[in-house]
Amino acid sequence: MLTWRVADLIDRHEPFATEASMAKLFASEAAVRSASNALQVFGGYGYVDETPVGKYLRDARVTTLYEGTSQIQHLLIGRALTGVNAFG
Amino acid sequence: MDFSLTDEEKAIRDTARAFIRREVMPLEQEVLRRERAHQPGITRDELRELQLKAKEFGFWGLSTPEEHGGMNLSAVAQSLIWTEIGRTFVPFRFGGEADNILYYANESQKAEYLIPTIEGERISCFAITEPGAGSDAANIKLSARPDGDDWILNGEKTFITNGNDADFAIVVAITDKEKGVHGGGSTAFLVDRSMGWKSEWIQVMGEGGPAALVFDNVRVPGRNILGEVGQGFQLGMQWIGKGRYIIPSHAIGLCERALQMAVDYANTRETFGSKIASYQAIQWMIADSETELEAARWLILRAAWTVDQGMDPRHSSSMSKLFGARVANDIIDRVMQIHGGMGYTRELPIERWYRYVRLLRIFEGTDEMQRLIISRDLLRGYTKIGGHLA
Ligand SMILES: Cc1cc2nc3c(=O)[nH]c(=O)nc-3n(C[C@H](O)[C@H](O)[C@H](O)COP(=O)(O)OP(=O)(O)OC[C@H]3O[C@@H](n4cnc5c(N)ncnc54)[C@H](O)[C@@H]3O)c2cc1C
Ligand SMILES: Cc1cc2nc3c(=O)[nH]c(=O)nc-3n(C[C@H](O)[C@H](O)[C@H](O)COP(=O)(O)OP(=O)(O)OC[C@H]3O[C@@H](n4cnc5c(N)ncnc54)[C@H](O)[C@@H]3O)c2cc1C
Repeated sequence: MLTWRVADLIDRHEPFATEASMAKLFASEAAVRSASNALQVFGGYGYVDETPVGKYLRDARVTTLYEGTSQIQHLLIGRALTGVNAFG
Repeated sequence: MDFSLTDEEKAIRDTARAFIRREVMPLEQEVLRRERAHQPGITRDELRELQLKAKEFGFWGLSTPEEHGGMNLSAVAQSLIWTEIGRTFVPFRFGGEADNILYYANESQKAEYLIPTIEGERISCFAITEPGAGSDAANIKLSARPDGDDWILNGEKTFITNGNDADFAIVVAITDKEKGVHGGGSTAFLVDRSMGWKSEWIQVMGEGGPAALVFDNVRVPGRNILGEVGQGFQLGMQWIGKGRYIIPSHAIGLCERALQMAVDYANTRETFGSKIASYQAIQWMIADSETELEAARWLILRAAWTVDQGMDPRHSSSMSKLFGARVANDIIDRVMQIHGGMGYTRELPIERWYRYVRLLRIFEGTDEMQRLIISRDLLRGYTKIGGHLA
């Protein structure tokens, strides 16, 4: 939903930076959580290379790191909401 | 209340730490390099050489009775040493040990299986899990049918650690389908690879990897029954239960090491003109990690202490495994986060730990099975809230 909202804002040519941060933060953390939960449901089979869930977890994990880490997204959202720059 | 170690515990812990630092850690870069090239981190021969060197320092058979040349250490001391081992990611362990279930061997089996395993001349694996029976281990199907003095084994085991290297397997099989495993229908067998079972490597998320074992009309002599006919499952559950505190003890070691790396990195890495250690986002990850690590440490040592007291350790061991595995996953995740993009590379061991610790929530009883054990014992009044202090 957050991601669609960003896409919609872009289509409308409205500002979207903060919404994009929210979407990136939420979706990337959710991806890691979901992949790890999925792996757990598979038990030992989730840990095997033949089942792709282990790879989903490894792939998902980087999304909270690149293109602005989760911590940086928090700072961006916080700055937009409060006007206070807490970066440095 | 005294939370300190005895002089003896401290001495043995410090010696183990010094050995790991001097002899094992120097291999770490080579281990990373080899694993990046999809080779084993260390070879069997290198492991054995290290184990024999450790023997000169007295480290041989942490859990092995003195009559078999071991150290016969308390569970607390074993836990402390496994934490030291965990501090390195080199796949190392001290030598001179055998699966505890092998102590049920009779005299001639001891000579043929137990002693050579302790000496490192033979390699065993323990096989209970099957494609259709993991958490529900009582549902195993691999069958053993009597034929004269022999037994004929048919079926499949999977996820067996050491299954590719082992020259014999301790196999739990169904000997009486009607009775079922709880009614005395399962039996443990000592089965040499030369008797005909085959193994196939299973590639997993972590390094190394277990194996699938296939038994196609494998003929096993009756003298290779371990313990009594009908006891197999019960022996297996003891095998798993006894050492359950070892897994999180090891995990504590790698968390200590990884968290120290994160602290050091935070104190050097700068963004936006300041050390990242100066940001609350980083400080909180470090504070949470240290707090959870301490909580896990004492939960684990308490489980080990329970073993030493001769009390039933199931409840405390399950809690230590559940919590230890959870905490290890959370801490390694934060350590990776603190390292940013570097944490995701194979230059550092962090992503290796990340892949490894995920296993801890699955094998030797999943998180969910530990919760089942903990709650069931409480709900039926076998254990009390507050444990031995209650
Ligand atoms: C690397 C590795 C090494 C291993 N080494 C060995 C070994 O040496 N010897 C050996 O015998 N086995 C070994 N195992 C097997 C391991 O013990 C099993 O994978 C584990 O017991 C889980 O079984 P499963 O994989 O069949 O998962 P399943 O039992 O199919 O579980 C799937 C999911 O369902 C959950 N679940 C199952 N039942 C319930 C329930 N009643 N309530 C709630 N949740 C439930 C589980 O927690 C899990 O999340 C190893 C596994 C791995 C991955
Ligand atoms: C697989 C992969 C692909 C990549 N692809 C590209 C690419 O195509 N192009 C490109 O330019 N880059 C790319 N990157 C780089 C990526 O964007 C950076 O890794 C990311 O921006 C984080 O920077 P860093 O690694 O230097 O971590 P650092 O910025 O050093 O951060 C370290 C830690 O400190 C935290 N932190 C930093 N500053 C603060 C603060 N003020 N307050 C609180 N916490 C803070 C971070 O959240 C992190 O946890 C890629 C990285 C990876 C791993």
